[in-house]
Amino acid sequence: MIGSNAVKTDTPPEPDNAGSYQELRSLLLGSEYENILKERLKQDDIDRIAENLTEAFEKRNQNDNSLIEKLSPMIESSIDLSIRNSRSKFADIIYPIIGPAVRKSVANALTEMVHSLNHLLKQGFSAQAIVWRYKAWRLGMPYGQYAFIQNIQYRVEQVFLIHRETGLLLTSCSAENIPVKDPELISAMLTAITDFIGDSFEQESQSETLNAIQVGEFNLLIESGPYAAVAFAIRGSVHQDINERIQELCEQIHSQFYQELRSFSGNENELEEARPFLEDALIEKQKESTSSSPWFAIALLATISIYGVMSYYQSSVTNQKAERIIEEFSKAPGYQVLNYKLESNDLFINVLKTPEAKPSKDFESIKNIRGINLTIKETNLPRLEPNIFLSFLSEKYGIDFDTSKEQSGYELIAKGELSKRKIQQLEEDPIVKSIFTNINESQLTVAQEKVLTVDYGQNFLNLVNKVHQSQIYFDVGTQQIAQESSETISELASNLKELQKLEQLSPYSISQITVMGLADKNGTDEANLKLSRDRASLVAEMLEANGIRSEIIVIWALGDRDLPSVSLEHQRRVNIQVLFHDKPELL
Amino acid sequence: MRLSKKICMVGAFAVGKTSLVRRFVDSIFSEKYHTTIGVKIDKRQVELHENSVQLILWDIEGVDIFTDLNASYLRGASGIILVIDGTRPATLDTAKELISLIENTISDYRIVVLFNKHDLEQEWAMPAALTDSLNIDKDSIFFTSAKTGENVEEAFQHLTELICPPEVVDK
Ligand SMILES: Nc1nc2c(ncn2[C@@H]2O[C@H](COP(=O)(O)OP(=O)(O)O)[C@@H](O)[C@H]2O)c(=O)[nH]1
Ligand SMILES: [Mg+2]
Repeated sequence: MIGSNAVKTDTPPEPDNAGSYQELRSLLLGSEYENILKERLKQDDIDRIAENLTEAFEKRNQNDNSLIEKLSPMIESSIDLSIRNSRSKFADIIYPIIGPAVRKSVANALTEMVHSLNHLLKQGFSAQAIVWRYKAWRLGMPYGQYAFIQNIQYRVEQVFLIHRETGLLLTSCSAENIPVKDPELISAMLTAITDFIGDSFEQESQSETLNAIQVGEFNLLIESGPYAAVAFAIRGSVHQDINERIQELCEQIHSQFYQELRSFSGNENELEEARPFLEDALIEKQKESTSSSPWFAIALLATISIYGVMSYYQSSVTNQKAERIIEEFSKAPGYQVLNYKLESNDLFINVLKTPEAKPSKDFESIKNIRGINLTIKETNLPRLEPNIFLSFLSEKYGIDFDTSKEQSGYELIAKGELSKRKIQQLEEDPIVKSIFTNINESQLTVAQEKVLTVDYGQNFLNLVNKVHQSQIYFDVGTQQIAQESSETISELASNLKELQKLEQLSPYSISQITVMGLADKNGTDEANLKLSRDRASLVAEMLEANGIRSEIIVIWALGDRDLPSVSLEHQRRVNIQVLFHDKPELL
Repeated sequence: MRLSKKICMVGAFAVGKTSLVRRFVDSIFSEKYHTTIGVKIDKRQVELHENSVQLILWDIEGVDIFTDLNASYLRGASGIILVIDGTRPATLDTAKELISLIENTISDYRIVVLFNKHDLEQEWAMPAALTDSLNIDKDSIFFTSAKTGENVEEAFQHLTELICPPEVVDK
């Protein structure tokens, strides 16, 4: 019978011939079979344990604490390990929670510090800087581009050697005639900026740490070695030559001054001998000189306002294409966009161009242009003429200007009504002074000074104070705003809205509105934390609904925090904290 | 000899860190409430006999929760100025947490503790039992006021002496 036959085959061998059976089995099937068999048994065990694991854990846990005690160090170290192995993944998980706050803090730290850095770097530039700045202004182009017009492709103007651990300055040097102001502060700020970015946005690989920052018209390039970092302040573009030079210098310093770097203890002379190496890095590259180009009707060109056509600009696919073209023009060395205009599919661009600039037909954005009829008006860069300033001055002072030639130079004729203060400003305007020999004010009338001046800054501060004093109280154990506070909340919303408006006019800028929720002492910490978060969220929602920008609102649940001396009904509350900072001055 | 040292201001929100730096660096105090988030850096020279020491002062700006996000802020600091608001006992608890954070983050540093706003006698809420509860050398604890300037110079001077090598300090 088939059935009995089958049973027979599956029956285990008798004990007496077990040895030979095993031998036969290994001969026929090899050791592989043995392994599979063992695995199989193990798998059975595993299955059995798996089936009961949860219950076993539960049972054990009811008896004593030993499981937790044994497991927690394991869990801790595995969390540690995985954080260490994939920081960015963890950052991703944590980010949504602390994200808004961190993003704001990074943005703030950057704008604030980059601003003061820029200020310091700039103060370092003497008379020459003023001349350059003025000349750039004369051409109506950003300072950075002026470098190209000046036939300088790039120039390393300052070099800093920074101790990595402490951020202290080891030594620094600068190009001729360029005194550096407070290099110690620049050094510490650079360290703080790079650390800050490194911390907040964990980078995948070490080599990718931030190494170039644009600071005003400078490019700051930073190369970090194990003990020291080298920073270059570069005017002009960051050319491959410079990249190589900075790496080379960093390696050189590390090999020559390894001991000194390792043992650095703050003594300022310790690394003095590295300075000649730094000085070697003050390189610059000149462009081949070009013959000056004939000069066209520049006065006409310059009277076309750069801003006038912006209003045509609306976002659409065509606009994006146009935007790319314009962007490429504005980034390309040797070009200056004067204005542009997009009407349906017709893009008109008006540019100034240096003779050696790359032809615009080679631009990526223009080569594969489709759907746009492009007209480019290129004017080769002309020599300078006082006429071209008139429109800029008009824009600055809001009146008309004219000019006439005299033996000694040009006279500026001002026509219209100006306040006393503005007239004084005009007379002292360094640019006016340097171009024109005198100002003809015979056609100028003095405007009545406005007596009533509003101190927007003070109003802003007063309002912030008011907001800080507002307390919104809640009913016991709920998200329900107490009767007595219903007016406060609407006052608060309107104060914050007013503050947002004042922000435009005042010298301050709001970085964050922190909505802090609190609960009273009763109840568990956990419940109180949740309750305080719910309260803060409610207020935040109400503020958003009332037109407060949601991206500056941060909710902060504090649970119960108060001293027992504070009455319970006052412990259940929401407070608002407005964080603000000085607006960077216009450069 | 000219030395440079990194000093970090730490302490809870609004205890007076920035005001103390302003007082020390610019000799001014302003009531104007002013908070930003990030790091502000200032410097001041302190004379020790023939030597001068340049203190690079790092003042972290922002709210308590941001402090522990920035361990790198502390990196390389030779001196720590831990500030407590004498009118707010909770800031002492924050200070204790900060001490352990600092201990776990850096080594080879000296610390002074400032109980600030000492001018506010009425609101002073820091009995001796509390000020003694810190595990800090008595000589390194100061009762300061950024407003009146009380003990501010002394505290910075003391820290400077602590962080400089003996040959610089005793002359
Ligand atoms: N009365 C008094 N007020 C102070 C003193 N130090 C700081 N403040 C005030 O406390 C608030 C917070 O100061 P701030 O320096 O911004 O604290 P930070 O957050 O630790 O930097 C400000 O309103 C200061 O005017 C002080 O010594 N006495
Ligand atoms: Mg501060």
